[in-house]
Amino acid sequence: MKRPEFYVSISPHVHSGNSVQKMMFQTLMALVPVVFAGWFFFGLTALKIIFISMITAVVAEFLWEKIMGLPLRIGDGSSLLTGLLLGLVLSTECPWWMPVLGACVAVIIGKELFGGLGNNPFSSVLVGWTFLQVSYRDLMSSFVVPEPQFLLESSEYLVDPPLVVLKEEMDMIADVPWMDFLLGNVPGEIGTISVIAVILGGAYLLFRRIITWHIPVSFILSAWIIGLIFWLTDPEAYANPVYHIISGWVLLGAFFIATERGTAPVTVPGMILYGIGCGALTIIIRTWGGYMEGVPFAILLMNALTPLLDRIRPRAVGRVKKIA
Amino acid sequence: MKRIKGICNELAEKSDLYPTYKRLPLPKKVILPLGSFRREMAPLVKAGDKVIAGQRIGEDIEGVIPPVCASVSGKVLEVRPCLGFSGQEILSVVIESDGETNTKSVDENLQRELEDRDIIQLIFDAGIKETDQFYWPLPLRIAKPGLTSVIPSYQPFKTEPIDFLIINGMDRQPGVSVRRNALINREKDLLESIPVLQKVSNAGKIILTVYKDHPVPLDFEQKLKDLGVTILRCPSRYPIALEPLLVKFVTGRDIPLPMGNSRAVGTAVIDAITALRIVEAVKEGRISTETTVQVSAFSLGVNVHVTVAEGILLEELVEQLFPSLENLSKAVIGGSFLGYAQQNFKVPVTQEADVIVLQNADELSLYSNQPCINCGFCVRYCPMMLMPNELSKNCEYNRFDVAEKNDLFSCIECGICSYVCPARRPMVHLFRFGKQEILASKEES
Ligand code: SF4
Ligand code: SF4
Repeated sequence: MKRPEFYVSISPHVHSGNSVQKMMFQTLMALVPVVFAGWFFFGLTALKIIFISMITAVVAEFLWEKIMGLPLRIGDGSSLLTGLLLGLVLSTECPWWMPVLGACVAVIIGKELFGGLGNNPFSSVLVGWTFLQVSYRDLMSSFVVPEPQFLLESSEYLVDPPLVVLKEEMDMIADVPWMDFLLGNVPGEIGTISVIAVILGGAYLLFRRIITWHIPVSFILSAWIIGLIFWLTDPEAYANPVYHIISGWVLLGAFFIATERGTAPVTVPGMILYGIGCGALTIIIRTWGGYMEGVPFAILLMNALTPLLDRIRPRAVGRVKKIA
Repeated sequence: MKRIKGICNELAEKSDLYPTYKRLPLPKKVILPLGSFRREMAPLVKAGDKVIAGQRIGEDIEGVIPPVCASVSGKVLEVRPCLGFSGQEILSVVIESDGETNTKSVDENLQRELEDRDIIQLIFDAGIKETDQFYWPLPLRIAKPGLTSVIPSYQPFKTEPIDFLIINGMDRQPGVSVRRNALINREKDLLESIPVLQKVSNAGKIILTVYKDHPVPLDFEQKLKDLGVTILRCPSRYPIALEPLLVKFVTGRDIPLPMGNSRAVGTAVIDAITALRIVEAVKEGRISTETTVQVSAFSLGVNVHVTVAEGILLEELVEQLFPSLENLSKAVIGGSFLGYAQQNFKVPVTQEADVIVLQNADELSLYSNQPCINCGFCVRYCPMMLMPNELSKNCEYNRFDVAEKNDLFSCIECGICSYVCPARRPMVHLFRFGKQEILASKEES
């Protein structure tokens, strides 16, 4: 662009240099450990699924914007992120066309139809995931036992993801060493199993101030507390709340999915209520619901409440009762 | 003390060049706007008149705002509306300097013991103008109840006592050090201003606010303490130095907005520069005709504090400082966050301007017309606890009534929301547009 000689604009005349692209890029960076954990436990298949999903997401957005004659916004990297996250919440058992289908639905129905980044009411990743989950339930719920690339032994304790175990054969879970949970050496989706990797990424997001602590912390705490209440009423029938948190999904959901731009409230009280709602619904759906996993549905439900939660606005400075 | 949101000064500081000082010769020509765009004054001179520096050239008929005094001696060229640096046309007096340096001062009162009323009159006559925009002009703001008779009867809270008088030694925005330097270099004068201020305001408590990293010598602090002044070190966070937030931080009280009259909560705020000007006016009877502005051109590595007669044209100022300036892309009077970009170099630099920022093409920050991505950064940082994302959308799509209901008028246009917005939305532009539309529609009805 050729710049005219002299500029006049409204204040402020400086900018922090923050940009959508940067934010998305940093979130992608934060997911590197998670992707690494996926490769570590599931091998190249995991990378293949993630790759297909990312490419499809970008191509889908590109085609949509071209066809609809919209300004091109793929440069901001939001589709790349949607694709990556979608790949991370699929199982390695999925055939290649599932990430393609899921990414198309996520980007086009989940995001573009509503007007693009920031205007989608529901987390686009979860829209794609839910579509696949509802349509191909069997394919979505078959998992392989992870085979670590080096150092670790393949875990022999579980053949089903811990979440299924939590639902069906509760006492088995106590046999699994804690370390396997933390590292992610259990069956499950590519990106949800490794607690340590997700926490690393989440810490990076917090450190770079891409997200604030409110949503993740209140999400995790409330899941723990509700789980604790269940557990205290009947330790035989309900699982230790800690298992709920480390057995997948909750951390990825709390740090990366529930915080998606535009679908989460922006005020502090709103964010905390949103986190509490997500956590509570997760445990309730897991305990009483028919699906294996509660986090996606909990987040989607709370997404729907976001406009309401955003009405809890802080009191503006200077908003006092009328004097004189 | 209340927590104030905002951004760290260090964060925004592009450069902390050590400032140099300079005094410029008398300008060839000055333009002196009569009052602000909110309230115009009547000129006391006409084209062709001879004036001397310090002579009163315009005054407010109702006696609310202090008069305007000539800053140089010379001949009045014309009296006509001129563009001020904030972009409005104001009736102004244009004076061509004749190079004389004699100054008129109001010295007839100085010999005898000063009554409170005389002090206020001296402060009024000095024609002091301030950088911040306050609800009331200086003399009315700091006068204790009953001291000034000029307060029009419709002004509320004139009988309210002043509990806190805040002397603000903090510069308004990152990268500026005018007040900071004035405080460091003129400690003695500041000490002298305290008894004067105490006398006229009868304040319950006088507080001097400085940034945490401001060096305060021990003996200065002790002397202030002896005078009953508390020093309050505030976090280095923009925009804590702006009136509503400063009052909130120091006293915990909320100035009712959008009226913005700090007297309603028993506080009065003046900045350190004004305090020093008050001393000059009261002790020496000096009329305030000079201004010190910081001129920053970070790309050139220049950060200079210039003392010059008020009303000098930007053109002349820039020419004197940078005889061979190229690549100038933007000239901002009033600072990077709060200032106004100039379209025309024939605007006067008045006492309201504290800093002039010159940017080249690489320093420009451009806006885009991308939609909001609802990331919530602006909400996280807005010091007034508004929701700029919604307000900006309301203003963009002409839903002004909703915006007004959600406290659009409490926005102090600090620019933080624009600063942090990843979509680079022109937030302040939208807010000003919204405010103007609302005011216009109110005027119609
Ligand atoms: S410009 Fe207004 S809305 Fe934006 S951060 Fe400042 S006070 Fe808040
Ligand atoms: S910072 Fe910008 S993009 Fe983010 S919510 Fe505010 S206006 Fe929207």
